[in-house]
Amino acid sequence: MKDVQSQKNILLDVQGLKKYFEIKEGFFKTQLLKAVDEISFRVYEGETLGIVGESGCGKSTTGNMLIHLIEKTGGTIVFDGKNFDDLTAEEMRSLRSDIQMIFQDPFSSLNPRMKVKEIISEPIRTHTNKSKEEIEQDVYNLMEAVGLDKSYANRYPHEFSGGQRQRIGIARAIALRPKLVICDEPISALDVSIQAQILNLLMKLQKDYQLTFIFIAHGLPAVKYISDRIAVMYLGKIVEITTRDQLFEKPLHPYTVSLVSAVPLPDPTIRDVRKRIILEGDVPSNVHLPSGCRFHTRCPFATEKCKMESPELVEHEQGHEVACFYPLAN
Amino acid sequence: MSESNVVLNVQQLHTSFKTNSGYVQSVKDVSFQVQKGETLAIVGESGSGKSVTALSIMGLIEKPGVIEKGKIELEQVDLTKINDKEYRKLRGNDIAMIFQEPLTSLNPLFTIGNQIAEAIKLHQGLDTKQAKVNVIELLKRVGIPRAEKVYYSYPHTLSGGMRQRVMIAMALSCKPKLLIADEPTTALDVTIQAQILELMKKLKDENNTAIILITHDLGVVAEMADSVAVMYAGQIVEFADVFTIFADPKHPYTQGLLNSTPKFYEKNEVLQSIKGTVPTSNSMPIGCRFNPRCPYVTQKCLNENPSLKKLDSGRQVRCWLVEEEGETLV
Repeated sequence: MKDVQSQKNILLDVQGLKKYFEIKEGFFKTQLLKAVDEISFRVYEGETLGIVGESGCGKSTTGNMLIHLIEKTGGTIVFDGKNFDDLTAEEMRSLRSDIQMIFQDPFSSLNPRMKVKEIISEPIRTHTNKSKEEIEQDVYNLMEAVGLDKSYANRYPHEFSGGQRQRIGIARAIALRPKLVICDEPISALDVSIQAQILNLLMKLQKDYQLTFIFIAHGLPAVKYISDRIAVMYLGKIVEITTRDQLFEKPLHPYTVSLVSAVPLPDPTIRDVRKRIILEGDVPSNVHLPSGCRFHTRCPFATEKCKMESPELVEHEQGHEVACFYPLAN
Repeated sequence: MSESNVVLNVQQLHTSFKTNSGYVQSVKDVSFQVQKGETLAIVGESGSGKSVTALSIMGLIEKPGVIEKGKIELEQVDLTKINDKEYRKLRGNDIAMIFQEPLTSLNPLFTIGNQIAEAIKLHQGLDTKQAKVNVIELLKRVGIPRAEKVYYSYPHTLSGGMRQRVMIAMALSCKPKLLIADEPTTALDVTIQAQILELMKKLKDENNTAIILITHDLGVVAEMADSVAVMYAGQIVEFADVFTIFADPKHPYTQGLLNSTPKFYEKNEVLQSIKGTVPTSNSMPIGCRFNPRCPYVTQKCLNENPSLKKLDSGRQVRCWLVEEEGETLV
């Protein structure tokens, strides 16, 4: 499928995706927690789409729905021309080899009782009929690709540092040459000097294996470093989505602006001159959502209209969508 | 600055932990001073000894840990020589600490007001009624809305940012001379982090408190610190004022750390990572502890550990390269 305007191949097309959780309040009352509430976006072949937002914005729930770890409540996901809803269980299973995930915590996402070579070869053994020798060769190639020494193949996960474990997780994720890799906070549990190693490794693998990434994180600097386009989420909604440069040079949504200005920059000479918007208050709860625009309780520019009506995500200019009644111009 | 402005003077601190395989030195030969109204940032990755340094100052090193030698002087009183009872008088009164995880450092069974009032009653001898007035005043100062109501709330009803404000209120309740903040914003979202950092700056200016800020985030350092101590594997490897360290880092580890941090406002930057990982404390390399990861390693680095050499302008570097090139490099 091709996008008419940009002539780029659409790998993933998400429309109106929703995930509501039922939570009990008291004995008989149930409430809906709207973790993800009708979001739509596209991912083009070969690009990296960053998804940023604070805790509770629904970014990880979105990732989990895309890999079918949790069932969606509504909306459509079309991956590589196939609608998730039309697939049989068997077809869904084989489709999963094309979508892989890298997890946040390299300590709990690897089975402590499996050797490295078993961890990395598991997807190959599950999805293909390769011989033992072929699988072994694949494992060695993968280990080399992610920068692990072959001699580690017979070791167990506890013998590795956090950064090395994340490399094992990455090798497992790319073992089947997937089309889409979802990285859910892949570096936030790692030390600063290791974070750069992993980011650079991911970018190298993307080039070598022609991968498409969805990079979910709360840290803006890393997302900016790796992404081609970025979606900003707030309380289950996408509030802005555009190219990386556009997002940082001409952010339109007040939340994006405050998010960018809240990042502490590693340069002491600008700390007193930098203009910042410091938001007041906390993120409201997903259960008792504010009326109208979800950001209006913290927005410095909110009007009466924002309290009553919820703005839709609309294209402000080509390739730059924003959900705000009063997008900021410069 | 005159000698009387020095709040804390740490000299040649050595802290070790006894393990099955002998003593492991977590902090080795650490010396620094903090002046009144100064913020000293201690930067380092996991296992660098930054938190153990803080706990040593607080007198919270418990068996099997032991402060082997060195002195910790809080306004000329050597804290390594006083007994537990005297320490209890100091803690919460003259020195206070804020921890990373505000939920685990608050007692879930007592109300917020109760917990903050405890220190005030104990150290200032106020009765419950007077203490309550003080506590509500404090809660208002750290930006907690509806302070009278929060006084009677339990910790679980507050958000992460609010809890950290409560921790700050508690730490500041007795106007300490020294405040130690151990990763105070690591568990918080970006927009909340900005609020808390702003609050700490404001309170420091009002009270002229000396602050030791422990963090791994160079952005937070650049935002907050006056001077910076970079720790690696239990030792200070570089010490300088914040502007010098960011503009002209001398130690290869500091350089690597800065190069692996995204600058954020630069377009298309390339991150350089530090190869390898932090050594564990029972497998310290011989010679300079950074030598397995250092790009400029020489034969001398493999044999001898360099000392922390004072250059002019008060900066200190632990590196043979700097030592040999001497003052000409400065």
